[in-house]
Amino acid sequence: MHGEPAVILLVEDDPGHAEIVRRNLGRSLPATRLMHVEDGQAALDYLYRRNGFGDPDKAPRPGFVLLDLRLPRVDGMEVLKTIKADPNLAGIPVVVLTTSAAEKDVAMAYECHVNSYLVKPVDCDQFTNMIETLCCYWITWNRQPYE
Amino acid sequence: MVSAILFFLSIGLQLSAAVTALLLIRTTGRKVAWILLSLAMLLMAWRRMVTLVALFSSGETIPFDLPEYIALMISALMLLGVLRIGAYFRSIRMVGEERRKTEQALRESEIQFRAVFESTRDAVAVSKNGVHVFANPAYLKLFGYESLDKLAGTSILDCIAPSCHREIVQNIQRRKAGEKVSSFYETRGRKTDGTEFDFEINVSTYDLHGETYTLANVRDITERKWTDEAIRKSEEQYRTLMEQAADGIFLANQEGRYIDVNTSGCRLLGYTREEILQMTMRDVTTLTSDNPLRMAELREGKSLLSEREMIRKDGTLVPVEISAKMLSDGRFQGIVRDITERRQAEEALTNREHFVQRVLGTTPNLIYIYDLMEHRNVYANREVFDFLGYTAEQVQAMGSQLFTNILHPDDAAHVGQHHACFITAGDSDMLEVTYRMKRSDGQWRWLHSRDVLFARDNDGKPSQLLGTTEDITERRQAEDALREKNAEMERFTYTASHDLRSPLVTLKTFLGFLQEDFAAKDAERVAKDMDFMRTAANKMGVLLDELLEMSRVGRVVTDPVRVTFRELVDEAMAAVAGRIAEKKMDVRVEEVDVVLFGDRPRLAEIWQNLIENAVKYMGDQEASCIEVGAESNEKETIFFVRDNGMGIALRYKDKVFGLFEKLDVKSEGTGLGLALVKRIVELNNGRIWFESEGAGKGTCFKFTLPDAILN
Repeated sequence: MHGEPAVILLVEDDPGHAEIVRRNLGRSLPATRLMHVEDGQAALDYLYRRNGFGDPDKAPRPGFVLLDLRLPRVDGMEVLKTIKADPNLAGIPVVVLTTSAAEKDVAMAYECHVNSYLVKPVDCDQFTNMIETLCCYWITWNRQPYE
Repeated sequence: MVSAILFFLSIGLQLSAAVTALLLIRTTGRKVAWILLSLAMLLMAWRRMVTLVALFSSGETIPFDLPEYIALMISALMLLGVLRIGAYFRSIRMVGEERRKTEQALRESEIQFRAVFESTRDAVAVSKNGVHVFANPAYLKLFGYESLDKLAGTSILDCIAPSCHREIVQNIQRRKAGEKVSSFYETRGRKTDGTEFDFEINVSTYDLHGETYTLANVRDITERKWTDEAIRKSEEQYRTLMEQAADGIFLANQEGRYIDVNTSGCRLLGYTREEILQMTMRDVTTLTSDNPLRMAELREGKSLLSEREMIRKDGTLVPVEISAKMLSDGRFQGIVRDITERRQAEEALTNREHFVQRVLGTTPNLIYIYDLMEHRNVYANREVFDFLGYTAEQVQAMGSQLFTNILHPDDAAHVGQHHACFITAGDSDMLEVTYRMKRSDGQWRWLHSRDVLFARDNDGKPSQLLGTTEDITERRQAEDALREKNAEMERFTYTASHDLRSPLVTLKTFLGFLQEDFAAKDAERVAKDMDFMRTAANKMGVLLDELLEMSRVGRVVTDPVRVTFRELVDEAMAAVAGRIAEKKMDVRVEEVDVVLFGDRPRLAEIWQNLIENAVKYMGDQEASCIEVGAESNEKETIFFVRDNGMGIALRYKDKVFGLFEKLDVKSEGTGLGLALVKRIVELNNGRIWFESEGAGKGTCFKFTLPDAILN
C-alpha cells in the first residue's frame, strides 16, 4: 500500500521527547501529520489496525516510522523485527531515533534491517537540525514505493 | 700281846715279800731269781710261824726283843726291797714299752712324712747353716738336680739367683740374730742350667740335736707371675678403655654399691668419683615397676640393654641407655650412654611425623602419589572416594569401571594427555590439569590437580607423580557468579547512563525552546516548556536517588536486628498510608508469627515497594483489596502481597523485575522498584515471582527470605 508521505508514526515513550519532535516537525514540515504512540504494543496495534486503531482515517499508514528503542510493554527492537518480518509492513522505512549510542544496539538494529539509526543529540539546535534534515530527506527527497 | 702282834707282822711281811716276788716274775720275767727269793722268804716265814706256833703251844711268852725287832725290820726291808726292785723293773719295762711305742709312732710318722715329702709337688728342702741337707724329689726337679746326692752339701745360695743373694744372706743373718724376719717371701731362683725363675718361699726352722735346721717350702710362681702380669695388663687396658670411653662406665659389686666409675660417668652425673663410690645403683637410678634393675637376670649371665633415667647431682633427670652385664668376677658393669640428644632427635622426628600426618590428614585437598605404570595411586592421604563421597561398597560395585564412570567423558582425553606429558617432563616441572568428576550425590565437581615428578625407575623413566587435587567447584561457581555480577554491573551502568541521558536531552532541548519562546514573549509556551524541563529534572533526581539506593542494597548500612513480620508490614503501610487512604483501599494483613533478623530498612523496603506497586497498579476497581501475609510449609515460608488490580500478562514475567522497566508508561515511578525488591530478596538468598491470570485478574507477588528468618 502506498503510504501517505505526510504521515509519520512516532513511537516514543517520553512525552518531552515527543514534544520536541512535534515542535521541530511543526516548524519544518507543518503539513506533516505526526501520529504518536507511547509504547511498542500500541505501535504494532496501530500498524495492524487493531485495538482501537481500526479506523484508517484515525490511523493512516505512515510514510515512515520514527522508533525509539527503549519502550514499555513491547521493546523497540521487537517492533522493528515485527515490522521487517511482515511483508505487508516491511516496505515502510523505519528510522530508529534513540538516546542509545551503544554499538551493539546499532549492530542489532541493522541486523533487523533498520533503514536508518539516529542518536538524539543533546543540543537544541542540533536536534532541530536533525529533524529538519530528517524530514527533508525522507519526505521531500525520498520516493515512497507506490502501492 | 704286842710282841705277838709284832711276830705276826713280821711273818706277814715275809709272806708278802714272797708273794710279791712271785708276782714280780710276771712283771719282770726273771723267773729263777724271784723263785729263789720267794722260797727263801717263804722258808723264813715258815720257820717263824713254826716258832710262833711252838711258843703258843708251849705257852711261853713270845719274846720280842732286839733280835726280833731286827728280824721285823729286816722283813720290812725285804718287802720294801722286793717292792722297790719290782717297781724298778716295772718302770724299766714301761720305758721299754714306751720306747717301743714311740719308735713305732716315729716310724709310722716317718713313713707318712716321707710319703708326703717324696710325693708332694711342693718343693721342700732342709738345710743347715746354709747348706742343703736333704730335699724332696719335687725340689730336685725344680732346680734341676738329678739326685739328692748332687744336692746334699751344696749351698742354698746356689739355688738363688745372684741378684738376690744379698737379700737372702741378710735374711739368714738377721734370723740368726734373732730378729723378726718374714718367713714368707718371693725371690728369684736359679736352676742348675742357669735359668732363673721366680719362686715364693716359706721358711721355718727347727732344732735337732742342738742344731738349727731350716725347712724351706718353695713354689715356682713363674706362671702365677705371668697370670698376674696378664691380669695387670688386662686391668690396665680395661682402665685405659674405661677412661677413654665417651660413655660412662660404672662398676658395682653384688649389692649394687659402686666400686668404680670412669671420668665420663662422673661427668654424666655431675658427681666426683669419690661421691659415686659412696653410692649404690638405687641412689642414682629411677626405678619403676615396669623397669626394675633385673639383677637376677644379670646374675644368670645375660647382657641387658635398657633405657631409663638417672638422677644427676643437681636433681635433674638424664635419659640414658644402659648396657649391663655381670663380669666374670661377679662385678656388675654398666655402660651408660646419655641419650638426651637422641631422645630430642626422636621427639623432633615424631613431632615432625605427627605434624606431617596432621597436615596430610586435615588438608581438605587430596595428596597422592600416582604410579604411572600401574595407573593408580600408591599413596593417598585420604581415599579418593572419600573425597568424592563414595562408600567402599559403591567403589567395589563399580569395580574396574570406576574411573570411567566418575570421570567426565569430555575430560578423559586431556587427563590421559596430562599423564603422557610426564614422560618427557623434567624433575621440577609442575603440570596442572582441570577436570570433572561425579560426586556420590551425582553432582559434577570441578577438580584441579597439580602434579610433579616424584620418582624415576632404574632406567630414568618417570615412574611416579606426587600430586594434589583441589575441589574448585565452589571457586568456579564464585568466579562465574562474579563474572555474572560484573556483567550485570555493566548492564546496570549502561542502562543507568543511558536512562540519565534521556531527561538530559529533554532539558537541553527545552532550554533552547525556552529561549525562543521567551524571546517571542509566548508566555503559555514558556510555561509549557518549563513544565517539561521541570519534569525532566525531577526524573533525573529520582533516577539518581534510586540508583544510589540500588548500589547501597549490596552493602549493609545498618546493623542487623530482630523484627517481626507485623512490624515490617506496619512500617511499609505507614509509608504508603496516604495513597491507601486516597484510593480508599482495603488492606488486610494476616496474623503471621514470623520473626526476621536482618537489615530492617531494607526488609521494610520489600513490603513498601510491593504494596506501593499494588496500589499504583490497582486500576479502577470498585472494591480494591490488597492482602498481605505468608504461607509456611515444612521447607520454607512464602510471603505474599496479593491485589485484585490490573494484573500482569505472564509474558512480562521477567521484564517486570528488570531495571528501569515499566509496563505502563503513564504510571509513576522510575521502574526501579521491583528490581530493587528483587535485589534485596536475592541478598537474603530468597527468590521472588508473581502469579497472575492476566490483565484485569489481579496479581500476587510471592517471595522467600530464607536467610532472614529466625526460627
